[in-house]
Amino acid sequence: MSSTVSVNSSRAQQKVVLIGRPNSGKSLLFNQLTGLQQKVANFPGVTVELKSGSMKELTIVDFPGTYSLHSFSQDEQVAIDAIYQALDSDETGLIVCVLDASRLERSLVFGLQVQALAKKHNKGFVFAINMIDDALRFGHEIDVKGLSEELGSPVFALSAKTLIGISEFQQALPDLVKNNQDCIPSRVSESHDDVINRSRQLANHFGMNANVVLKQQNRIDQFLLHNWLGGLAFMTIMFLLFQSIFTWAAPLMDAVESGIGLMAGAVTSILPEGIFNDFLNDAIFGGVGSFLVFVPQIMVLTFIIGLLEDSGYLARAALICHKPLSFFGLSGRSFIPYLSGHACAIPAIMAARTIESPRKRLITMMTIPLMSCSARLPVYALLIAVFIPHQQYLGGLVNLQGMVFFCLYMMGIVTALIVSLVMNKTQFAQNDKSEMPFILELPSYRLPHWKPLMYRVLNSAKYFIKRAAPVIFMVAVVIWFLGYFPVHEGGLENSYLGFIGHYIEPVFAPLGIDWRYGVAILMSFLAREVFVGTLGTLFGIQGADENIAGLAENIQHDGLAFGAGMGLLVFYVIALQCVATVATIRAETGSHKIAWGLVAGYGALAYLMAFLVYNVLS
Amino acid sequence: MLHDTVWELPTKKVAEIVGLQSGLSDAMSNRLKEMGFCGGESIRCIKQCPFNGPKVVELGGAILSIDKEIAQNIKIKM
Repeated sequence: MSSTVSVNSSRAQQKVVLIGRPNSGKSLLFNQLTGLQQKVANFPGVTVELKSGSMKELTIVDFPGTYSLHSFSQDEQVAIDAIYQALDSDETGLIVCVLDASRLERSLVFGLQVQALAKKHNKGFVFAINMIDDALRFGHEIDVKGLSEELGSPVFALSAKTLIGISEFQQALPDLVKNNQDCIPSRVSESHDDVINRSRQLANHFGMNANVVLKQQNRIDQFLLHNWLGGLAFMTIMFLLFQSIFTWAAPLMDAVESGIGLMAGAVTSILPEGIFNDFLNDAIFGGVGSFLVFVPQIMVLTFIIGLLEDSGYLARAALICHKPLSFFGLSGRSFIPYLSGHACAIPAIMAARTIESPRKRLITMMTIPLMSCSARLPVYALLIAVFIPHQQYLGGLVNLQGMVFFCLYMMGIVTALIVSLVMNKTQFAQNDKSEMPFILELPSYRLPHWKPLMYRVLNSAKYFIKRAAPVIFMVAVVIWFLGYFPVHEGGLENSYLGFIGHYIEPVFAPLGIDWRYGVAILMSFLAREVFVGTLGTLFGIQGADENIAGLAENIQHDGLAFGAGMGLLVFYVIALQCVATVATIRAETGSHKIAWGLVAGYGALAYLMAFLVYNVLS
Repeated sequence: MLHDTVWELPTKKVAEIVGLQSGLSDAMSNRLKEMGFCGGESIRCIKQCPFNGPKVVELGGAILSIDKEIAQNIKIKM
């Protein structure tokens, strides 16, 4: 057998596949092996797509965590299909099954299933017992040799967190791949019951006493899952999360703002006056620059969500939310997509795959766009700065602008819940009555891994800029040309843009806003943050103020009515203005009708609500 | 003999799992077994969320949260 496979194996079989249960620290191990950072989180089922990275000449592929080879939810089916594909593929040189040292029995159940498959497909197979630092902390040393003999496969004990055993494992991998036919499992469990019994026996013999690990966890849970203290803690954490977006990010935002101001001042003073100077000043610094100011807020939000994920709190939050959310036809598992929807709807919609029930998953996906994503931050921040005074209470702990921010986020969430409730009650969702039950494993509390977390924060900023900057740049340039010509001296009113704007003005007049805001709203159907860039360019051309980054002041001087401003905020809470989100919903649901229906539905609702707010407030 | 189920298990009490109710689908009972709900395992109730919310149990070194539907399908001996 080995002779047929080993032909050309050095070229073909270069792939090392990482498989394991959710939360076995597999993704962190992958990061340590490849140095390539990916999302590492302490919540079961975070990896929904395959990540690959290279280690010397080997390719390492990180598979989504699965509890079993019998799928239960869609993301598991994806993972299981991928595992079977990898087993069939000639490129796969070695399968590494990651076990959790502190939960040996549970991880072995899955490990033994995969081992049997590896044997069936003649693939090399090794076990990597991760998190042995946890075991060592409680004075338990795992008998690697004995366990390896019992399992019939090589076993490595390591810790991806503290790096124990990582370099040994890294050194051993190339040889294991090269001689992969030597590590085809020598004994495997055939039946399901055998797998379960053997896991228990092996864990009893080689594993650690789980009670010690759980003791510390239980103590924290006693507080965080307490009936009312836990609820209070949950509310406090969520409130601080939204407050911090404003307070922590403020100094950074000021820094970016003055940086852009300085740069604009320097550049425009060197260049001779004229069209090109005006273009740089209005379109580049005014348009593109005004949205860069909000990048720090996106980073702070990503940081805090990452912190909650890594620490293990998110699973608790999902548990706390399960009962309240099920009232609206959602599951506790909807909480994580909802929360990450506050950073960006696209990963959130993908994360909804972990919801077992197809119906709840669909409703969750359809309501995620109502979560105030980071693209709305620039719009909220701008309008709040225009209308809400900067006031502090309780010695700076609470500020008024932060509270309004919190209210806007809450409004999005409440709207999402109402929409869910309505969808749940209508015939739309009735075709699938079978309710999938709720099982959730609560991971141990862990300290976050700072390096991957920081990398994620930087990545979020990079991703946001990369995604939005080209669109904003193009819109800014087009808007500037339309607004600057045919005659600059005649002012904005007499430009091409003025004509177009006045043509569409009647549509936006009922909301109390003039044509400039109308143009900005229309442009922001590409992506919401374009709103700020467009207004920045428009006010830049008007030259209301030489201070380019002070767009909020310009709007204040210009005299936008309070009611209209609040109406605009409400509009942005509800409307689905993001081409990328629409594309993602279409891909995940496989339905154009749902995706564009949402754009139309939320658009109409947003318009109606903004109309009501404006008329009530003025 | 009629057994109690995990749903009846009071907070902070330990019981031994007897087995799963017979009405469960294969997929469901396989998954529950894989999660550790097997006969002979001891299970401890850590918390009952208010308003008939999910139960939090300790089982085989892990903390799991299960809703009423599942809890009522796991037979125990107190």
